[in-house]
Amino acid sequence: MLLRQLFRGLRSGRASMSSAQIELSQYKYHNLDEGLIPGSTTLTADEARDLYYKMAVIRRMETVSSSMYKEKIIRGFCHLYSGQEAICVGLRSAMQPQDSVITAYRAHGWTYMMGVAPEGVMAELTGRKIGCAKGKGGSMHMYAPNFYGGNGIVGAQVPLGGGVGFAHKYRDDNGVCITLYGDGAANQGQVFETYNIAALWKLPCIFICENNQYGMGTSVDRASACTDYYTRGHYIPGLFVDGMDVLSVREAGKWALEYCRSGKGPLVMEMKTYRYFGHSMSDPGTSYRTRDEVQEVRKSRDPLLLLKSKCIEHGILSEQELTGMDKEAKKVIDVAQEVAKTAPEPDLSECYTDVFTSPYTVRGADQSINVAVGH
Amino acid sequence: MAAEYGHLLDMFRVKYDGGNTSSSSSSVASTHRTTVNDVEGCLEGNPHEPYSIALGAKHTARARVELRPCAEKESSEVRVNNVLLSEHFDYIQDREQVLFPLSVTKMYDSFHITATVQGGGRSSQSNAVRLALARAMVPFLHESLVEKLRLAGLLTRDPRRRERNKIAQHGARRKKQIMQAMRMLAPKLANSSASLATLRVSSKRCMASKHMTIRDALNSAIDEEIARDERVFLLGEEVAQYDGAYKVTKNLHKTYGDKRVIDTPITEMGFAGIAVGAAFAGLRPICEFMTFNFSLQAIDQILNSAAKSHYMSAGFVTCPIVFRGPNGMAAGVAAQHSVCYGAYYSHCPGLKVIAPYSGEDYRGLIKSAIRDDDPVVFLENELAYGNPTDISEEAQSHDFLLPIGKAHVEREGSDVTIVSFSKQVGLCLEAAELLKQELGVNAEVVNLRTLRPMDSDTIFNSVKKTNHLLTVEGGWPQSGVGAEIIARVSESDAFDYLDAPPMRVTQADIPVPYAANLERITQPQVENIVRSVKHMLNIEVNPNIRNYAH
Repeated sequence: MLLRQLFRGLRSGRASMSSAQIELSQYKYHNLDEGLIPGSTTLTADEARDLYYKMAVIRRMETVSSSMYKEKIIRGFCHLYSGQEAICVGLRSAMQPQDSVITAYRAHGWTYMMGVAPEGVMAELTGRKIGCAKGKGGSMHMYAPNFYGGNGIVGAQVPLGGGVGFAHKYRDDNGVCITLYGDGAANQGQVFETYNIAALWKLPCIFICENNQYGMGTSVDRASACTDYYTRGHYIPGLFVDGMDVLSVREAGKWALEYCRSGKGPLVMEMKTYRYFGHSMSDPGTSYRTRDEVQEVRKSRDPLLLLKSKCIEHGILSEQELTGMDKEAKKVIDVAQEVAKTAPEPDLSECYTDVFTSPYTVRGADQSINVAVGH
Repeated sequence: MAAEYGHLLDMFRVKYDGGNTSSSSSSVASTHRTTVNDVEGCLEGNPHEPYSIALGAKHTARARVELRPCAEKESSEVRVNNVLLSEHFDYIQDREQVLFPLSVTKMYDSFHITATVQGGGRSSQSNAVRLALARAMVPFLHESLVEKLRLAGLLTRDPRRRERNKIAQHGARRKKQIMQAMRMLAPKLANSSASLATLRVSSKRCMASKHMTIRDALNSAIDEEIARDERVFLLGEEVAQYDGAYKVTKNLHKTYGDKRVIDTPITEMGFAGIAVGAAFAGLRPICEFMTFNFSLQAIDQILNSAAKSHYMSAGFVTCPIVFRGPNGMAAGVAAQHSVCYGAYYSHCPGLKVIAPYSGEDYRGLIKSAIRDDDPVVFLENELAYGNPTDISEEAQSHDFLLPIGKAHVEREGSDVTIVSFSKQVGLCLEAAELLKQELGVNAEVVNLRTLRPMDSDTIFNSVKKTNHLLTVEGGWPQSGVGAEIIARVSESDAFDYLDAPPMRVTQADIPVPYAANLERITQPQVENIVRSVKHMLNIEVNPNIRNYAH
């Protein structure tokens, strides 16, 4: 099916359409009327380029990170986003500048989308001075304006996101906080505590479950009594979205942000997606699922391929242009990789800074080390 | 002039250069008869043994006071109608009233006081004696001290016929609860005449100081901070419409409404996380835990989200949040509700941990905590809320701030350093007074005020002065605050100044039981402190203490 679409594009020559109407995947609604989101959307060539390029950069960045991890240049935790790119790219394209995001530890894609250059992300992974957290945070603790990380404790980011939403409402700044968590975190008590308060106080929060089918090594059927994560908000309206289709994600995002911005209270969304790598780099990802399953998704539901085929089918972008963007992304990431590998490590004195905002003294590992900071 | 009165010479307003040279101390060679309308007392006697007489009155009570200066190193005696002060006046409040002029001028051990009083009830009598005492002191005092007495209203007869009952009204009688609390303390002070140390929760009592409870001090401080900065808001269980589980946030919701004072459901992890997220986004939340025992539900958000984010983000994220609530012992609430979390929270870098003691501590430190850009854990104490306290004029200022990370020496001494925090500081002051009265031991009591960052320098300087160290805390001994203090002292040059191994007094190393007699012995008491000090100073070596000091 996909191959036929590709050939069709090649045969018809260069793209000539500047925009096209593209069908979206089916949504599912909970405590909401059916058909709230239209069944199709307009995609312009510029939008398509932007969406595809960003997904390609993230895909390439994560692949390179995995090889750097195998070379032991990246240490500790490394949770890769490959396969889930459509979510962060699609949502970001629907967001307004005053909106905020908070997510869990699978955060590299989001960090890039919230404004950190690939060098900033990758140098943070390799623990260098120029990393976005000066090398002190690592894979799970990256931040940017209106982006509150990068959080290591499963589920802890959900109440934090509720708090950011609270601040938006308190300040009346028309902002919404998008709070993401996985299918594994969806059973955490603090998630439900946050649902309760968000609904009570009508906080402008969108709770999004990135359901990639597995919480580490445990499939959703073995972890949750109810796997319809978009209904878990119970009294909070919910929406199920195909998380592999960047346009469906984008349209759902636009609708949801408008809903919350108008003061109607929170929403819960489930974005069905898939991760190609294991849970983290220490997990090969094959002990709890078959290689065939992974390959099947790569062939039929890959976000980049889906967008590519739609662009070619509707004549918005040509095959050459898309391949050119792949190459461009590769070049950018190769440069970033080089920077990340060669940048200097932080100064030893940085070890003791940033504990407090006001001046303080710190004890080192033995009594000979006493550092005064900020004096 | 006799050498033993030399220390009072400077204070004599009237100079003697002749006159009656009789050496008899009992002869009364008065120049005129004192009447109740004399504004100042009359200095009588001879230069070697001066004394003064003055009269005082209130309602129908009439008092006469005779003052003789004490010799140096002599301790003063106060007698009313030929019995000890404590025997004539049962209530501590009355005794405090009587000795107030001494308090204002800081002249506790300066005079022998002989008073007679008739008529009126206990309140009028104590007032009358107070007035007579103040007037009798005048001839002995320098002008500046007389002015202090005058400004405190102690030289003016109280003309009122009827007292008002509302607290915080000018000149009102104190609330029943406070009197009850003071009555509870009375037995301990039965034999001490001029001992006010254990009553005073603030070291200053000057002319414009306000008398209130610690609860009021805290309430007013939070009120002022919410008014001052629109980013400050308060959330917690029952803080709004219920006026606070312990009434600390009384009237705040009425004043500021739903936006600034918010009731939460009983979901600590959820609302603490929401508060931290709001702090990340630039607001300044005050997150109340009904008690810190429930903060364990939220401890992940406090330690992993609030405390570490500034570091993990290399300074990009700040978290200006205050977690506050009662900590440590209450009364009869048993094991799950009686734990002190000082050691738990002060263990973690990135958090500031404060444990106030006096009303001024509460006021100044909560303000500093709210204005601080770092996450602060503010450990209060339920049993302290009702305690009376004096807030000096300086501390009533809306910008009264106490520095975080500075300890305060509550009582100066020379023989042993007792370091403590929160409610136990009161216990240490009580013990210090007892040690002074019964054993002549001068204990220096250090109130830490902040657990992290801890003020090591004040502790070291004190230990270098006294050569002995005792720590007192409401938490358990293992990995506790006392252990930390002693480790720091042994790592410093103050170690060389120790004449005995340092010791700890802590909560007993068990979950707290319910039965009152059992609960009592799990808590640090005066007897634990006195026993430890006696062993440390070799006054009474205890064979059960196996630190081989002796």
